[in-house]
Amino acid sequence: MTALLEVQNLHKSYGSLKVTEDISFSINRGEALGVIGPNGAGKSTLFNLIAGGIRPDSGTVLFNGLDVTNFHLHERSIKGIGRSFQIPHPFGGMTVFENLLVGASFSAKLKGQDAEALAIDVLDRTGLLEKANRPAGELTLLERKRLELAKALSTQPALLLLDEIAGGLTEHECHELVELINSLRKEGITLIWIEHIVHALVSVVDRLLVIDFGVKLDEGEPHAVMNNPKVQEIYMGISAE
Amino acid sequence: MSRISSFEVSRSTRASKVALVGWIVILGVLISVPFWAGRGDMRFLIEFAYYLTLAQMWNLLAGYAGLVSVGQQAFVGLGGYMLFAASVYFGIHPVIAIPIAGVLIALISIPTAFVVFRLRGAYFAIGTWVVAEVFRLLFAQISSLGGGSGMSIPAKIVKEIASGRTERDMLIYFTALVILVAGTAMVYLLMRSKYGLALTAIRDSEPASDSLGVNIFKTKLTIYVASAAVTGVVGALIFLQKLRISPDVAFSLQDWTAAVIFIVVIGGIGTIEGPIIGTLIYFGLRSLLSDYGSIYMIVLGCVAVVMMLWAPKGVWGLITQKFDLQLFPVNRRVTWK
Repeated sequence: MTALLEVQNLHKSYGSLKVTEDISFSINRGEALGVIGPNGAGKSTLFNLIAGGIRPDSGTVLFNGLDVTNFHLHERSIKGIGRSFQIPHPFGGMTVFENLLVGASFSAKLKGQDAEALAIDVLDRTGLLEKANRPAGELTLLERKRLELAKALSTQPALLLLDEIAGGLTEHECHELVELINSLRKEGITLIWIEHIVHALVSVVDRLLVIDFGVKLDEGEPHAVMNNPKVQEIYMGISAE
Repeated sequence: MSRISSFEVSRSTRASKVALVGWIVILGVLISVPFWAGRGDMRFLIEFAYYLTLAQMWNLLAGYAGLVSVGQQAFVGLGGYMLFAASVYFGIHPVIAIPIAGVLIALISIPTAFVVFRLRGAYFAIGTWVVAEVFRLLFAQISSLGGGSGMSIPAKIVKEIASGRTERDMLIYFTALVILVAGTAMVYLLMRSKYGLALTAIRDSEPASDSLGVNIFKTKLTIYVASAAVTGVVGALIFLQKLRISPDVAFSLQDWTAAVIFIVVIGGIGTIEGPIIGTLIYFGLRSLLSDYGSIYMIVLGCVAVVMMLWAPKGVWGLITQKFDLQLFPVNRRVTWK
């Protein structure tokens, strides 16, 4: 079985600052991978290298066996890589329903009623059905996070990338979101999730990848990774529980 | 789960259904105009129609696609010159030459787009202006088209347009009406289609629309080319009515772009209703102040400044703030059966 996503020897520098140094990993269909690391470790850069917002200096990104390293963001979205943004980017001038029609029409390439049906289905799965006709600019933070997730789902992704989607939420809201993501996992979606809130991450993912200063520090089963002394050093005092 | 299988998406509201009847009545009246109104009224309505079409096109470009151009006079001028070249040198009937000009200008606008799209924001605006100036200087060099002093359509060709002066006025009037209705319908249908969705998405967040599969460059290019083509068609119409062209008039920033920006900003940018209201205000102010010479320009400037400070969304913005009104409904509402 070939991996759904295979990242090989990615390098990215801004001037003399190396933000990604020789990072390789792969993820199989149906798997969930969590990515952690301190602020400035290069998590978001890695994320953008996979989603297509940034081109690497060297290395390749294989998706479904296809070399997508030089694909644009919108091309990768059409191929099946869906992403959320750390800071929600709602289309404030549209309703919540119309926000989802964008991905359904352009990325999933559905027409008319099929696109509308997908949008409604995603609204239902993300608990936003009641908000369908509300302008997206009026949503609360949790609702905007849900919309962020819903918009990524509206592209019918094979691989879902979540960028600190739980950030800024209360403990209770975070729990709700984790439940939602777990229900998506049960549907069989493949997931890469970057998050600071380690306990939320550990309750969802199969594997953890730790990066620091652009370098892969460890990768493996979440509890084993969190018990790695090197990881404990950078995540001082934060346990997996 | 039962709710998801029984939804309906509606676009029209009660106001928009009433408005549709209103538009049909207005269109009916406009069609009947040549049979009872005088020549002066018709000339006025032709001018009104081409300004409104220019305003719809600039609004499509700036209000919907965020491409604030101050160089639309490039396409007005090109349209005019193409009409002259086609009718004088190729013997094409001027009315047939109008759509031909539109197609040619769409083609010319593609390489132009690759130049100006390298620039953003204010630089894009200046870039489009420079392109228009280049065209103006270029046409001043073409002596077969009259060079710097311009040319008129020879009387022989003018006679071929229609059998008499009244018939000619009527033909131009109906052509103007067709262009206005087609141009407005194009903007309306575009905004209701998935491209309207993409344009609004791009306006609200470029990275998010990109990540949802929207090809931003292609979308903007499509809008730029469509807007250029219709602007060129209007240009051909303008100079068919004037029967005379010169580089300074054809590529006039003040007449074909500054006045149009005034119309759109006063009426309400980013709406289809805005340009209609803006054109009414512009022509109202013009006939009110036409006897006062330069004071007219000062008043227009003051109105623009006051509007930008107090009502940046224009007159239509003020109206929709008070009433939930859409005369050209583009939004979608989900209802459950």
